[in-house]
Amino acid sequence: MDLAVVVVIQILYAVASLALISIGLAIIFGMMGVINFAHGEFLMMGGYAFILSYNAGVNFWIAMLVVAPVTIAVIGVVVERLIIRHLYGRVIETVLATWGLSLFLIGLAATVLGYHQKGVNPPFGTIRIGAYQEGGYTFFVIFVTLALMAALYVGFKYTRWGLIARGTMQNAQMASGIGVNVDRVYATTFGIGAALSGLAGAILAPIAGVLPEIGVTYVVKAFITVIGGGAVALAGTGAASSLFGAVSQAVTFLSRPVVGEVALLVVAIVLLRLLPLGITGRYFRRGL
Amino acid sequence: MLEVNGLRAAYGRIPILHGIDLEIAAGEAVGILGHNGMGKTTLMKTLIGLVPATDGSIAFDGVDVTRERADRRVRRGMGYVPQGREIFPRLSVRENLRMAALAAGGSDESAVDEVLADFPRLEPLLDREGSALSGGEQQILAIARCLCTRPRLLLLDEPTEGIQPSIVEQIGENLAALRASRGLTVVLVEQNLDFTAALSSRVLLIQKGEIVRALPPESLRDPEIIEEFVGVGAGTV
Repeated sequence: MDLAVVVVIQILYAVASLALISIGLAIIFGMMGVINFAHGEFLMMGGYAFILSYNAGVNFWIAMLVVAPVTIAVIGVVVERLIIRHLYGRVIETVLATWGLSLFLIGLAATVLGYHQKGVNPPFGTIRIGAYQEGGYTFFVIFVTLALMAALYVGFKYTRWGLIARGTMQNAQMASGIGVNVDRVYATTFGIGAALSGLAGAILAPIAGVLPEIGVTYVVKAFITVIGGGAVALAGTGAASSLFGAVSQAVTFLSRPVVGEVALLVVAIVLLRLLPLGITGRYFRRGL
Repeated sequence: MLEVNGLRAAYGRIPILHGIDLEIAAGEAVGILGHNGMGKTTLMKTLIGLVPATDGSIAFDGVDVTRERADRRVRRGMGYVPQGREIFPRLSVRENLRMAALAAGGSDESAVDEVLADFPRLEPLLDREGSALSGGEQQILAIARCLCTRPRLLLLDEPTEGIQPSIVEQIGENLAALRASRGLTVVLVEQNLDFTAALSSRVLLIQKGEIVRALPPESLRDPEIIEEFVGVGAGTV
């Protein structure tokens, strides 16, 4: 019984962390059709923004929940202005440019901050579940991810900005023809995606630590989740991370973590063979 | 109100408009007739700013807007109803209207209620998705959406295309009533002679990217003119 509870919590955590690292990429891809290969480095920079400002004396929660997303949002808006804006509608060029950006950011972080891993201890200690114990921070990650998804849903569905962003995503030229400043909507959307990535990097930093190349470990899973989810950002990320997270974590329990990762890849390949446009290519098409 | 001089525009590298001159006074309703491929849609897109002008100028209310973005022109009071309606397919009817009001007018949504009073036909459809509407309903929604931006000048691109005759008639009546009640200035490009004749105070003929002549609206009922217009192109009227 206790083991079952722990397994469920671990699966929820796997799902939540997958959704967390993917949602920023999913919004930028789903809303703007832009593939951001520097996504992993946005997470990496979020982690550094958190740890460096925390070490400099900023309050733990402000460093994590405010400094990290705001810093990466600003970087995202600059990147959109300098690089992405000139490449809208040109997928290959965007991939190459953001890949170059990714390499540049890794090199920059390594030069400035060095290669040793930085980390902080997760707060909340541990919680006892029968004979087992679970880190309190695990619950925090699950809770924050749920809150974030709910906030995004409300933001896109019910706010003025969300309505304009959804319409612009469906037909940018027509949006311009009824008075929408499309450049500004794209810059804001990219900034929000970047902020979410920075926040995710900060939230996972106490668990995973931060290194200049940590983005590489995030980006593969994030891409698999976003491609598996399809073009509908929120529903797609939710569905794909539930599927992939549950499968990989369940298999991890039955054997080893490596096999769990393999299982994730196998499920992703089978899924894309059956649903080439991802889960939301067939289901939840009307979702957000 | 609208002054166009020597306007040229291209679609990619192919030049489409070869120097359009056009002057529209406030309160006028000008119909521009032309067959497919004569540059009607390019003219409308260039006027609103979705296709860049390669030469010439566009002035609205005496202000040169030739290089302005479309959304700036919309906020100045130019309204655009595109060919093919271009309704946001996965927004509800209400959201289509609200989006236009919010985009053009900031947080002020009162335009939506005013427009619904003019188009009661949309009331029962408010919660439907744009893509679930019939062609005629979408056309009415496209016009209503444009009005939510509170335009003073209405640019209408073939509003009768692919719409059943009874709704064409209704749209014509709606537009005539709106012209009167809101003091709208209208520029209409069309292939439909009857619709154009009924709505326009002045009719121009566009051919191969140029305005070639003016016609009195009454003449559109003249068999000889009809014959001539039909004979100009492929004969789709």
